[in-house]
Amino acid sequence: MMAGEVRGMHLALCIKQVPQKAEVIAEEGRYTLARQGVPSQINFHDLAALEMALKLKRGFPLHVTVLTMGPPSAEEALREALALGADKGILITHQALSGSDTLATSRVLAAALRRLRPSPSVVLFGARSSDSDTGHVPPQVAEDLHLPFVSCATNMEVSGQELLVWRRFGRWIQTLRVKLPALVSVLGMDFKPRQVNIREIPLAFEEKEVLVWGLKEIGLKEEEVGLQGSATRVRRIRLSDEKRRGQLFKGPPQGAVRLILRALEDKGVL
Amino acid sequence: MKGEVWVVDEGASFGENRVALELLSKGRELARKLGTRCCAVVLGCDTREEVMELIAHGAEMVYVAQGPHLSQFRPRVYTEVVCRLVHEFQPEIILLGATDTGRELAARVAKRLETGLSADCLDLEIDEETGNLVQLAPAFGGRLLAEVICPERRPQMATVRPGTFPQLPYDPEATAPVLYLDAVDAELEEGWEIVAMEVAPEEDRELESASVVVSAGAGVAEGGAFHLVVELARALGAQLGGTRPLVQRGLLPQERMIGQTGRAVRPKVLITVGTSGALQYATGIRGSEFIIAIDKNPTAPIFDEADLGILGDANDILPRLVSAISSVRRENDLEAAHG
Repeated sequence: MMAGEVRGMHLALCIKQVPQKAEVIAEEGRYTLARQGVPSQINFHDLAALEMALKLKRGFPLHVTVLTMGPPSAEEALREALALGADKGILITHQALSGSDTLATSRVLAAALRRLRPSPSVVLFGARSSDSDTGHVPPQVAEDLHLPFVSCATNMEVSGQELLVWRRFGRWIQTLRVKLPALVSVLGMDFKPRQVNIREIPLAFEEKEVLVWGLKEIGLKEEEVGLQGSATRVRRIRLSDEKRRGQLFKGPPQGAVRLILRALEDKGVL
Repeated sequence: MKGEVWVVDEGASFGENRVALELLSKGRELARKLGTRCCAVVLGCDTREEVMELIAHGAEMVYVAQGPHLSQFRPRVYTEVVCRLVHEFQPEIILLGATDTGRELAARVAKRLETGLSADCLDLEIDEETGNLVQLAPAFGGRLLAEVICPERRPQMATVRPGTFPQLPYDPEATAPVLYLDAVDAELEEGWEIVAMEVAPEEDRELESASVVVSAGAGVAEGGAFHLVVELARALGAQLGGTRPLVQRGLLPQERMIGQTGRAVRPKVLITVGTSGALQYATGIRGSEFIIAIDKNPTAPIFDEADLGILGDANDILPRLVSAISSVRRENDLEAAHG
């Protein structure tokens, strides 16, 4: 069998590589995020979605394709997902993609998902990303692909041509029966990311395939993506409000207790 | 006249929070600057009470789409309704609550209209020169604010978390025209059906609306002081929350995690214990009115977020604090009992 051939049901998972911590640097009055030297990781909720996919895979034949849009270095995130148990990676990368807002990003991911063969029965996303945290991309991809969409999933099962999804939605805990193909965004609940199995790492580099797709491969034009394809612009970045930094008390516990009591009384909560 | 400013109340959230009412006060302010009016759009089954409430809180006109098919949040139907309204009335700005339903509806409407959308805005302004809506959105985990604009497409769309803006005072005398809309084709399939549904436990929902919150971090779990934090919360009648390490240790349910990927709290007073102040967490507490931080590490970034910082060991401070609070409470009760 050829590497990467799809057997069983096809599941696609979109992930994002995010910086492990946000270190802000100021240069000539402009603020940006330090990226050099800051290690990256797979976004938390995306890892939860991967875990969910791998759980399904233990029950029946399931081929998991992981996609990410990002700079060439985002291949690391795909390799990590492969080492954790995904079957194939697709890196969507092109210079024109940088500066994409959620509208443009959803256009790119939808175009890539449309080109997957066989067409995936389930598309998973993490519900939100830790760096931009809008949660807009999954429902916007669902709109683009006209797929049934369920957000905030905490668990799922495949039953025949349907998916059973449990979710936490507003004040509700819901169970939904979803027609396939469908798109689901996953909320990492009591979820602990697991460690990569060391023995899987060479496999993730040698036997498992990462395809690199540019704009041509997904059939989009430069003006449809990146800054040009985005509706929003960031006009300026400013530092959020000054730090509060009030009094720092270093005395004995009795003094600390007195100060806290006074604050509670001043605020009328005692 | 410029297009209107709209606040979309997706109905489903009405019993849960008052974000639509909060958005009306900001919407009115924006509408004044643009020389237009601020209108509410309501979707739901029986919306009479909501319409009255929205008018009493500042809506200058209400568009109503109602019917049994809108009794619960159905994203495709709701998106269709809002998009049709937008095509007909061409609003300049649309604001929605950043709730699970509001987020999904906003994202879908923006996609279908091919327009811009920003999330969780902390403030909204009108640029005097261009008349564009300036959306102040948290960036990079909240340490920075991005001034987002949507210069070429309309409408300009933004979501705002509950609790960000104050409501206008209730005015029972207020009146406004109400426009009832034709029913939208209810045959739109979502591709899913809800087979079971229950309200999440009450206690899981109270964190975000609590006026006093006590929160614990890894420092507490490691120092064995978690039970003291629980006692403190009990003594104060406060809601208990915490950081991800506590959830991962199984000390707290996920629903009680505070932070960027958890809940955002905005109490009058937050007491945060043994939380170093990682950005992920800090983002979730910045809406608090007064923050008291207790930590052993003098360089912990949490002290930059606090109005009152206490350097010390929770194991020494908390038992004393709990007994002091209990005795103040007893005195107050006695005073009340003796008039």
